[in-house]
Amino acid sequence: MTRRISPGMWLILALLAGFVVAALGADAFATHDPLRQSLLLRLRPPGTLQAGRSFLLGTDDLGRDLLARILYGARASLLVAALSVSVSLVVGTTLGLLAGWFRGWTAVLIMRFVDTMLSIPAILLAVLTVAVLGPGFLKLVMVLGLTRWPRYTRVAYAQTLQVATLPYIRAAEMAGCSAPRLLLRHILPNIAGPLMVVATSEFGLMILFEAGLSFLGLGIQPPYPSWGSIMSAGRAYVARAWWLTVFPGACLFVLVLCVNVFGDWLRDRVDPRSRGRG
Amino acid sequence: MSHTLEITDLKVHFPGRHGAPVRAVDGVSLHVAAGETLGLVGESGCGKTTVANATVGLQAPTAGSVRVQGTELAGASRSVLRDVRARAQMVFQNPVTSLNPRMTIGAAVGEPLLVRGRAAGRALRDQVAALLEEVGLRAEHAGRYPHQFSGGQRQRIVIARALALRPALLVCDEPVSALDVSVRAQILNLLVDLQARHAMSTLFVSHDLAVVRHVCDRVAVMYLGRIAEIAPRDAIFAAPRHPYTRALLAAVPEPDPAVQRAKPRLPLAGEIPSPANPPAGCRFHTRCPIVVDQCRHEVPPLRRVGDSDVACHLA
Repeated sequence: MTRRISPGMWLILALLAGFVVAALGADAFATHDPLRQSLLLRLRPPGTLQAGRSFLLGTDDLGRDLLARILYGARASLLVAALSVSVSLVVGTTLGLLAGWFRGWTAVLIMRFVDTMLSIPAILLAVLTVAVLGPGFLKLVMVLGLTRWPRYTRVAYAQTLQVATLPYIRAAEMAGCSAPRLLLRHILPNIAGPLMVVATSEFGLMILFEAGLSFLGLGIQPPYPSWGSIMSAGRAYVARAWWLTVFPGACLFVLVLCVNVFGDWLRDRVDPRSRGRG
Repeated sequence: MSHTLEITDLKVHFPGRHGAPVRAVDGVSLHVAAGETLGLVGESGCGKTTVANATVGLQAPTAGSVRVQGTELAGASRSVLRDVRARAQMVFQNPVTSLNPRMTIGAAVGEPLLVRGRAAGRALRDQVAALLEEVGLRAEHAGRYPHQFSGGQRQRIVIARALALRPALLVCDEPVSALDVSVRAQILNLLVDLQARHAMSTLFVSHDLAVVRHVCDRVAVMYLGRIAEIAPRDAIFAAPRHPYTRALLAAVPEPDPAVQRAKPRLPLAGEIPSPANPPAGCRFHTRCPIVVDQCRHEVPPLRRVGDSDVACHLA
């Protein structure tokens, strides 16, 4: 089952690993406190050496080290994305399994609910919810997680319908398995591949949503850094301090690109039929 | 009374596309005595797999009765069905799709014992090892996954799983038709051995008369949802009474070309009619070479002729 991994894919995997390591090890890599302000060191360009301190990526409008803020911002991005993907993966898969297993009215109710959810723009719903409930890290995770589950439900439903007709499911019934065991032990492992592909592509979207909501001031709240809020603050200085928008923007772009390429690669491995197509 | 399997006037109808229900099984009665192997043969679409599924409770009967060791399956509750399945197990046709690809074969074979609380831990491992060895595999295979085995080996695994609960009745639905010809005989001999060793009753569903002749004590021939003829093996192969049975036997190729050439040929005209709209009277009358007017109106009941039970007015 071992297939060769192309050099380009190695690069993507290495970059992804780099982002994860940077986010987890932000405490070790950041040479400055991301929250420490210094009005004397405002808007220094990248590479500044001043007062015995070096600012590799420059400083922001409050004199905070941009590198440290980007590292901690990566942590916020990945954490929000990972948690919200987990929430929607669990909720969506559970509903999809139930709809596919019980079919009938259960499926009609669940799948019509899915259609309804899919017809509401997720970002709009998120903006509304945050506007009503107020911002906050956990609220952000829940809002993203609970608006983005329908795609998993669709995939889990279709896959469950297909797998449930296979003889090994009949055999498990003959063995005397309970319904939970049938679903968790026999069906779930055999539909996990396509679900992981959905989860990966959703992961990229979640990073973008988090950045977008933080940019609008509805996500991670100041003074805590997020790529979206760094860019939002830097927007006012885009003519004088390009680094405040370019560096977090580039990080966002590269990270989401890597996640998406990784998702495509994963899809090809999970579903050999789509291999070799554009 | 004490038959392992007793099916009485079983009917299984499926909702049809255009109103009329599809009568997959329409009044089948048969029994399998303790330790006996009954072959159930017929063309594809005649309802034999539906009978097999009804026997283990995977298909609810529309009408009639299915009893396994006296327990009624028609209208039985979930828990009754679960208990019956401990006594009636099934071997499926395609060994590739009847094993969970994400489960080791040890886990698959041991699952019936585990989920029914018959064994766990070390005792379970020992029983799985014994079962694997009983079907000609090795105990150390338990940690491997289905894709690491050939079709014949996988069917052995499926058989080991079916044997785990020591069932009184084994239902085999075309157990060798998906296998290479070269391994068919091994699997059939294994089934015959196991059946004799454990004194199991077996319902053996097949379209292959040569296979049925090899393993069965009695043979039931189905046509379009009904039994055409039931007889002891030697009676049915030596003196088939129903014209459909004769046509089936005439279609079996002989290994010796001289015998093959001398054999009477009874090709059947036409296609098998739709079970949604079966012919009146004898279901076989549209294709029967010896049809008379009575066959078009009167349904022939099964009646005793010699050693056979035959559903034909002219037998």
